Amino acid sequence: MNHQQKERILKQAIVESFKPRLEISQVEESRWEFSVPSGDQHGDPLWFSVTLRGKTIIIDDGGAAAGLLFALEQDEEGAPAYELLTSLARRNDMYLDHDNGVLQKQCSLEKVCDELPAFTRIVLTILTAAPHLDSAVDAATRRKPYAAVNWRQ
Amino acid sequence: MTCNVAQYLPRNDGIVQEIEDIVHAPGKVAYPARLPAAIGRRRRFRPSANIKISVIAPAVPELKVIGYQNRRSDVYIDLIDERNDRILRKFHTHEFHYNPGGVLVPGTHMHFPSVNYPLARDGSSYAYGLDDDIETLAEGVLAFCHLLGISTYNIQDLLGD
Repeated sequence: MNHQQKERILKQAIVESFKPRLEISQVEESRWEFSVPSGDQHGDPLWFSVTLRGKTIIIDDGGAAAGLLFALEQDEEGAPAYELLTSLARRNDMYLDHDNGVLQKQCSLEKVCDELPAFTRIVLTILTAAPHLDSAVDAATRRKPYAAVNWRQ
Repeated sequence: MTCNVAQYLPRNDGIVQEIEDIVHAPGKVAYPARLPAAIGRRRRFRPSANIKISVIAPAVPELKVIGYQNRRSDVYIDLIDERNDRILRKFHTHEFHYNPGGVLVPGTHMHFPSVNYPLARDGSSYAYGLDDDIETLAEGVLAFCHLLGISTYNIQDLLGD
């Protein structure tokens, strides 16, 4: 197999890996759902929702973050995954709807092209990182005396 | 009653016998979960439809079932070994799961661990398709428990009708 054949197979693999997973469907008159090409932390479809309310767009994660935190039993204040979520939400002007377990972001129609990829990126970060936080916190706690020495040198 | 998952694996992979022994153990009974004591008034961020159940059986470790339904009405249920938080089964009602190797499982499906693809908190794993048409979390929990031979007599109040 020559280089050009390998290149063709590689490009085909990239297109086939991502293209079929971008879907958009209308669920209400002013609400749409879309799935992102990368999928969730398991590679399964990851759906977001976009609602048009007057001049405002509301983006939400369909409950993906709340579901993962509940499954990890880290859905309460003080748990590493909860604190990661609230920290990222605060820094990115997102809102946690505690009543419905949904992460939301509001923006204008003019800014939606910037906000959609930013929102999905942050949700993917939470879904990917949250399952590993407990062990990361444990490891950091165990290494703390050594880490403190190294940082001061 | 529980499914022999080896039939869904390719020749170069295999089941995790230790986990299958637990999943196939007879006499599994579900109970309402013992919840930890509340510490102050901490806020919680969780799906509005959710459930936690303990599963007890002779000669196997205590298990727990954690389930929820998201805003799209997709149901997610995990069977977990309490000792080490290892996931033994995952039940999903969302569409379009792809097994390792790219085979599509279109609707409701049950994930199981294999030697090459353990059921981790992230990463791909094998699943087999189910015919169940699940609309609520309670229906999902009943189907899940039925498939895994778990008696639900003691959790009827949790599940409603």
